[in-house]
Amino acid sequence: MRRRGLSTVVGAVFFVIAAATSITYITYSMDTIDNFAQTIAVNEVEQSNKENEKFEITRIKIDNGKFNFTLQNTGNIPVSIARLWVDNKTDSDWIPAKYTIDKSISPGGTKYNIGQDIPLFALDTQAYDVKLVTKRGNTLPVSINSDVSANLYANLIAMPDRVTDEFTTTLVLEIVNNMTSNDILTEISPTITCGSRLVPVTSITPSSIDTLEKGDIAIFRKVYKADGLAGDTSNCNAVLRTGGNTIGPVTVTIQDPAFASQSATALESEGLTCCKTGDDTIVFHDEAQGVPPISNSFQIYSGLPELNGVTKELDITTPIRYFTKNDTDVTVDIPSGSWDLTFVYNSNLTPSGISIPNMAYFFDDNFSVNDSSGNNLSLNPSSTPPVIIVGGDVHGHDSAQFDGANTYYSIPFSSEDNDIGSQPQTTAGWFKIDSSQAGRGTIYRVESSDGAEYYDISFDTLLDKLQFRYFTNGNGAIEVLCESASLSLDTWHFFVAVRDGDDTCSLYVNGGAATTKILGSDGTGSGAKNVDIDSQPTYLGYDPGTGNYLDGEIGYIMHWESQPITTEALADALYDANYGTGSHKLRVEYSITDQVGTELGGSENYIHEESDVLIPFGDPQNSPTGTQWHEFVYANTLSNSTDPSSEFHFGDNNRLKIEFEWNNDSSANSALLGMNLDVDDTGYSDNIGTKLQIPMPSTPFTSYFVWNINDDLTFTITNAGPEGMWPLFSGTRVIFEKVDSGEAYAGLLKSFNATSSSQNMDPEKDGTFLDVNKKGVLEFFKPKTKPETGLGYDIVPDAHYRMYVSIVGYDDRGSNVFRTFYVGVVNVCDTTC
Amino acid sequence: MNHSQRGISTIVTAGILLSSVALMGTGLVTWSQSNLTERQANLSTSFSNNINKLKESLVLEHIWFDPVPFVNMTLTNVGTNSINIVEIEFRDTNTLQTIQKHDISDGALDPSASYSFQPNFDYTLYQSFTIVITTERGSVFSNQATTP
Repeated sequence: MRRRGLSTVVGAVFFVIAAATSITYITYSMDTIDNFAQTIAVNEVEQSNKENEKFEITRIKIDNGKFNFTLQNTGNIPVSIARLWVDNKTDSDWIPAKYTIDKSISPGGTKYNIGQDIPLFALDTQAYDVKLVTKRGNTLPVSINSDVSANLYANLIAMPDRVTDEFTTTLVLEIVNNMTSNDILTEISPTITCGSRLVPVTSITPSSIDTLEKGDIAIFRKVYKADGLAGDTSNCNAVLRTGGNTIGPVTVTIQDPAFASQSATALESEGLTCCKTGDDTIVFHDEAQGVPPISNSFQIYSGLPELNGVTKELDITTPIRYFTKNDTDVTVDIPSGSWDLTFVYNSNLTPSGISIPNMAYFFDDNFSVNDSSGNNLSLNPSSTPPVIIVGGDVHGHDSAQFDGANTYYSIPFSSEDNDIGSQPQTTAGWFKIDSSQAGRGTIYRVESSDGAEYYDISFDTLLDKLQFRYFTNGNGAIEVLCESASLSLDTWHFFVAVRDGDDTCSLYVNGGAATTKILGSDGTGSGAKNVDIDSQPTYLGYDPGTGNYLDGEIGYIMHWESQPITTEALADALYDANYGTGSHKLRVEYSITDQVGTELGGSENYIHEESDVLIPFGDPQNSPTGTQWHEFVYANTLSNSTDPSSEFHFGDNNRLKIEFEWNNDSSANSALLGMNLDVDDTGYSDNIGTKLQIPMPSTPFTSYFVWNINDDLTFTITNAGPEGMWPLFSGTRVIFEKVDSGEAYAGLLKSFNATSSSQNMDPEKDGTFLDVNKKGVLEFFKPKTKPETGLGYDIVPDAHYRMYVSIVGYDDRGSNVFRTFYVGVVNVCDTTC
Repeated sequence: MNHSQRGISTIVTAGILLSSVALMGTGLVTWSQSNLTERQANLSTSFSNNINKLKESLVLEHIWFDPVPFVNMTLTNVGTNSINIVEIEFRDTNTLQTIQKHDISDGALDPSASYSFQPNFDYTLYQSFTIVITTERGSVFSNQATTP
C-alpha cells in the first residue's frame, strides 16, 4: 500500500509539471494568436482609413507669387497633408521640388492659404504640375495653368445675335474644363472684343475666375450696345489668354426694331440690392440708417451695391466706420480663416495744399496712358526708348532710365499745359545721376525754335550741382540761374524748380530751403520777359540744342503751368509724398461691438487691429484695369485664440465694426497723400467693389432691411433709363425664402405709385408710367404660400428670410423689362422689430 | 525464504522501480520543456516577422522623368515600423520580364522618412513598366508608371 501511494505521488508530480508546461505553452500560443489577430485588425483599419481618406481642392490661386490652395476634407476621417510636390511645366530646366505642408483638416473642414508659407515663387504665367501627399500616402495630383487650348470646350454666343440700334446684346462666353487629365485651370481672364458697330457697355463679368476644376463650367458676360444701321454687322471674338486660340467669331446683326424685344431699360433699387452675394462677402454701403450714432458710420452687409459709387475721402480727423446690423434674434459665428479686405481706391495726386499739376509722368510700366494729370499729353520715346525700371525709384515706383547716349522722351506742346513762356512756372521731380554722366545731364528742357531761349533743369557734373536756368533773350537779358549745393552721384535727389518772377527763381532740393537767384535778369523790349515757345516740345533727358543726354534715372516729373509753389512747406510736402509702395498708411480695426457701437472688450471679443497698413500709390488717372480705381487686398488669417473652436462669436445685438483711419506721417518720404475709397459702386468690374471676404459664417449677417408684418410691404425703385416703363401686375412679385428651412412665400403686386385704393392693380390694370430717373413705389400683398390678393397671409413672422423682388414690365418702345433684385437677409417681425 | 530476505528484495525492487520512474519522468519533463521552449521561440520569431511584415507600408510618392536616361523616384515609409529596402526592380508590365534590378544598400527608412532613387533608365515614350520594391522582411510593393 505504501509503494502504491509513493508511486501515485511521484506520478502526480510529473503530471503537474507536464500539465503546467502544456498550459503555459497553450496560453502563450493563444496570446500570440490574439496579438496577431489584433495587429491584422489594426492594419485593416489603417488600410480602410487610407481608402476612406478624401479631400478636394476647392480653390487654387497664385497670390503674391505664392500658391494659395483651399482644401476641403470631404471624407469622414481627419486628413493630414504632409507634402507638396511642384513641377514647373513651362520651365524645362525646373527640377521637381518637395515642400513640407504639415496641415491637418478635420472631417468636413476647410483649410485656407495652404502653400502661402512655402519658399517657392510661383508665376501665374507658368504652368505647374502639383501633387499633394497625405501622411497616409494618398496623393492628389493636379495641373495648374495648363495649355487651355487643348481639349477645352469654349463657346461664344450673342444673346440676341440680332439687335436693334441703341439696344444691347450680351456676349456670353462658356468655358468647360473637359480636359481628360485632372487639370485645374486657374486665373482665367478672357477678353471679348467686337467690331465697331458694337460699343461696350460693361466690362467682362466676372473679370476673372480663380479656379476651374475638371467638369466645372465658367460663364463670362459682356454687354454691348448696337450703334449702326439696319444690316450692319459686327464680329465678336474671345481669347482665353493672351496669345491663345481665338474663340468665335459670332456675328451680331443690327436690325430694325422688332416687336417685344427685350428692353434696355435698367432699374435700380433704392437702399436695396440687385443680385445675390455670398454670405461670406460683406459689402460696404453708403447708407447710414440704423448704424450706431457715431459720426462717419455706414452700413455693411451681404448685399450688392445699389448706387453708382460714392467716394469716401479718408482723412486724419475722423475715422470712417462700418457696422453690420444688430439683430436680437441672430447670433453669428465666424470660423478661423482668411479675412480679405479689398480696398477699391485711388490716391490724391498731390499733397494737401498743392494743386493738380498740368503734367505728371510716373513712367509706370503697366499703364497705357502716361500723363497722370488727366490732360493726356503723350510721352513719346526716342527711337531707342528709355528703359523702365520696375520699382526703380526711391519709393519703389517704376522709374525711367536714360543711357546718356540717345534715349529721351518728348512731350508735345500744349499752350495750356507746358508753354513755359511767362512766369510763374513750377517743375518738380526725383532724379538720380549716374557716375558715368559726362558733362551736363539734361533732366527737363524746353527751348525756342532757334534754341536761343530756354527753360532748363539739368545736372552739371563739373560742379556736381543741379541747375535751374532760363533765358528770355530780351535786350540786356542774362541767364537766370538757381543752383543747388553739391549733390552726390548715384543717389536719388528731389527738386522743385520755380520761376516765381520775371527774373527770379527758387530751387528747393531734398526738402531743404530754397536757393534763390544767383545771377541773371530779364531783358527789355517786346516779349523780353518771356521764354518764347511756339510749339516746341518738352524734352525729358535731352537738350536738342547742345545734344546733352541724361545718364541716369527720373523717378517722376510734374509740371505746373502758370502756378508757383511758393513756400518751403509745400515743397517739403511734395518731397515727403510717397508715390510708391507706401503712399498711404492706415489703421484698420475689426471688432465686436454692442448695438450702440461700443466695443465689447475682452480678449474673446478681440478680432484684429493694425496701425501701419501700407497701401501703394493708386494713380487717379491710370490703373492696370483701365479704370480710375485700384485694388489692394489686405489679407489676414484670423482666429479667436480664446475660443476652443477658434471662432469669433457675435451674440444677439452685436455688430461687426470695421474702422479705417488715415494715418498721417510727417517723417520724410512717408505717406502724406490723401486716399479715396470707392464704395457702393455697381459699376465696378466685379459688381461689388470695396468688400470684406470672411470665412463662411454660421448664419449671414442680416441686411438693414426690416419689415414689420403689420406695415405695408413696399419697395422703391428708380428707372435709370434709357426708356420709360410700366410695371405689369402679372409677374411682378415679392418672394421671401426662409433662411434656415427654405420655406418660401410670395406676394402679388398690389399697386404701383398709387395714391388711392382705386389705383390698385389687377390682372386687367397695369401700373402707372415710370419715366426715366423717376422713382416708383411698389406695394405688394402680404406673402403667402399660395399667393393671392386679399388681406390674409401665412408667412411666419419673427424669422429671417432672403428677400427677392421680381419686376416684369414693358417700356415705351414696346420691349419687355425683366429684373430681379436680391434684397439680402431681412428680418420679418411682428409688432416690434 | 524467510521474512527478512523477502523484505530486502522488495525494498530493492521498489527502489529500482522508483529510480526508473524518476529517471523516465525527469527525461520526459526535460524533453517536453525543451521542445515547448523551442516551439515557443519559433512561434515568437514567426509572429514577430509576420507582424512586422504586416505593418510595413511603402508608397511611391512621386516619380518624374528627366530626359533619357534619367528617372527619379521618391519612396516614403507610411507605416509605423522602420523599413529596409533591399531591392528595386523594373519589370516590363506586359511580359513581366526584368528590365533592370538594383540592390539597395542605403534603403533603411524610419517611419515617415523618404528615399530618393535615380537610376539610369533608357525608357521610350509612353512606356509602361512595373516598379517592384522588396524589403528586408520580404514585403513586396508594386507600382506601375508610364513615361511621358
